[in-house]
Amino acid sequence: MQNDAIRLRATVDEQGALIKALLTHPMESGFRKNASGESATAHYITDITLRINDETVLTLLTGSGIAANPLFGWRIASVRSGDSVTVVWRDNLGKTQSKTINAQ
Amino acid sequence: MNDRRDFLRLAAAASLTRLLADAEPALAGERVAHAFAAGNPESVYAALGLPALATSTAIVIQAPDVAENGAQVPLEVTVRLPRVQRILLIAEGNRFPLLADIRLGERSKPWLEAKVKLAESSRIRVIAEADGRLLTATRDVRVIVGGCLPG
Repeated sequence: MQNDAIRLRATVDEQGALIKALLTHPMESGFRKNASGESATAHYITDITLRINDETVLTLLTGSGIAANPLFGWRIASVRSGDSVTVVWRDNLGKTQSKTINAQ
Repeated sequence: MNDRRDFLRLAAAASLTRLLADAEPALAGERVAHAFAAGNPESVYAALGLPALATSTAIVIQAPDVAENGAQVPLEVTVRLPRVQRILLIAEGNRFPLLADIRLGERSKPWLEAKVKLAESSRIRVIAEADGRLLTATRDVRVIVGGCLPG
C-alpha cells in the first residue's frame, strides 16, 4: 500500500544511507481535554519497521510521547543506490500505512 | 559471548529474557504494553525487567537546552559503542515516560533523530544496550510551553 501521507527519503553516502521519514499521524495521547472537558481518544503509532530490500533493519515500538506527525532520521550501513527502502507503521487502532522508495 | 551470558543471568526477570529472545534475529520485538503505561521512570525500568544501569559518556544526546514548544522537541542520539542492539528514549517528567523502544539490526548505525513531546521541563534519559551491557545518559531540557496541554 503506497501512501503520500508518508514522506520518505534515503540518501546514499560513503557510510551507507541516511534515511528520513515524516509520517502523518495525530499521535493523540488520550489525556488531553478539550474546552468542554471531553478527552480525545488515544490514537498513536505503536510500531514502525524499516526494511531494506525486504530485510528488517530497524524496529521502533513507540508510545504517545512521540510528537504529532512524527519525524525520524536513521542511518543504515551497506545501502546502495537503487535499493528498496520501506517504512511501515501500525497504530493502536489497528490502522497501518507503508511506503517504499528507492535509495538515491 | 560470556558477557552476553552474564547479562542474561543478571536479567533474571523472565520478561527481559523473552524480549531479548524476540529481538534477535527477527527484530520482532514484543510490545510490553504496561511499560508504555508506566507512570514514572522507575516503573518503566521494572516493567521492562531492566537491571541497574551504568552512566556512560559514550551516549550523546543532542537536544535544545530550552524548548519553546514541548509538543515538538527535536532529539538526536548517538551511541559511540559497537554492537548497539537496543535504544530506549525516556522523558522522566512525562505521564508515560517511555517514548520509544528501538531494536537495531546489525546494519543499523547507533544514531537516530526523532521529535518527541515533553509535558514539562524535565530530564531526557537514553538507555542503550551494547554488547549485552546496559548504559545510560541524561540531558535536561527546559520547556516553555508543555507538550500535553488541553487542545
